[in-house]
Amino acid sequence: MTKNPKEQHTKKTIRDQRFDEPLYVDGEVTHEPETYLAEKPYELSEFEFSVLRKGQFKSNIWFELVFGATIGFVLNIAGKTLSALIQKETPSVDKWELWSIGVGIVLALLLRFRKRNSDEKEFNEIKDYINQHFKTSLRRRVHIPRKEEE
Amino acid sequence: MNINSLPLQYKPFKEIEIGTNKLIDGEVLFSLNDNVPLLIGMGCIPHVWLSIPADAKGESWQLLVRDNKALHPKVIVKIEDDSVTVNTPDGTVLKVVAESQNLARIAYIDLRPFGIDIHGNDTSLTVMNNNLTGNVFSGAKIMIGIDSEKKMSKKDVEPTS
Repeated sequence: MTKNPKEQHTKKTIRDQRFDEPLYVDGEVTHEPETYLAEKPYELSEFEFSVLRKGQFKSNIWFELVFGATIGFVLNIAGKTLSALIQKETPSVDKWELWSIGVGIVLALLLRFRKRNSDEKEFNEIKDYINQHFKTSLRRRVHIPRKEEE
Repeated sequence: MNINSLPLQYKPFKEIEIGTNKLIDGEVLFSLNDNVPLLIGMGCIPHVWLSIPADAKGESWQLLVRDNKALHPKVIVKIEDDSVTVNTPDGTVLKVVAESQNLARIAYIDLRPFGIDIHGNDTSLTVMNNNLTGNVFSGAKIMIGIDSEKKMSKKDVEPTS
């Protein structure tokens, strides 16, 4: 016997009862919540996660250290020059100071643009795949539905 | 979130009150075909996980809020002294208050914008056209299971109209 459509939407009341097991009711998803589904998430595999988990590579850390030290040295010289100017003296920069800055810049550039090892290549590849996924993944039409009147 | 693979960080409150109904020593409030839309984790401030259907049939689901962090730019999670409120362009969808270390109270819930017919406040709870008040669920893993095929329930329910 098919269920009367009116019965399906009959409001039922469950009041002041005690349950020691789940209460099961009829129902299902009423609609797809388009507003809140911007794009499909990237399906990250365990292998890809293990590669991404390696995170910072030593050469990147060295680049940051060398570059930071070079900038620090430049600031040091700038401070020395400023102090001399304020005291109306002629600022002087030693040759070794200029050489140090030059070496720092060259070393930083070498570390920044050196050939990547296979781990880093894999890491960057996966990052590119994820970036590509979110750029090309179909975006749903975002709309704000009117609030239903109670 | 599937009922069989809940987040490891999730520890349920001993008691959750929702629309004058109580879940005591339970694990989750609702399950929709083995998918769990809402988790309220124990803490001085409740920990909320909110998951929504990613398709019209509810076959795949997507996290919208993970441990009080919104995963969508239109969703705002507001944390105050002992409460967590989830706001969306459709209005407030959830407000949970930690009454004590063991008790959480859901002051407001409305999951209808997400295609899940569950809504309620401090006085009653409505789940898929079933109005619940003053019920106690003790020791049940799930308080209310929503299925497209209705399973047998221990108690008879009286229709109001």
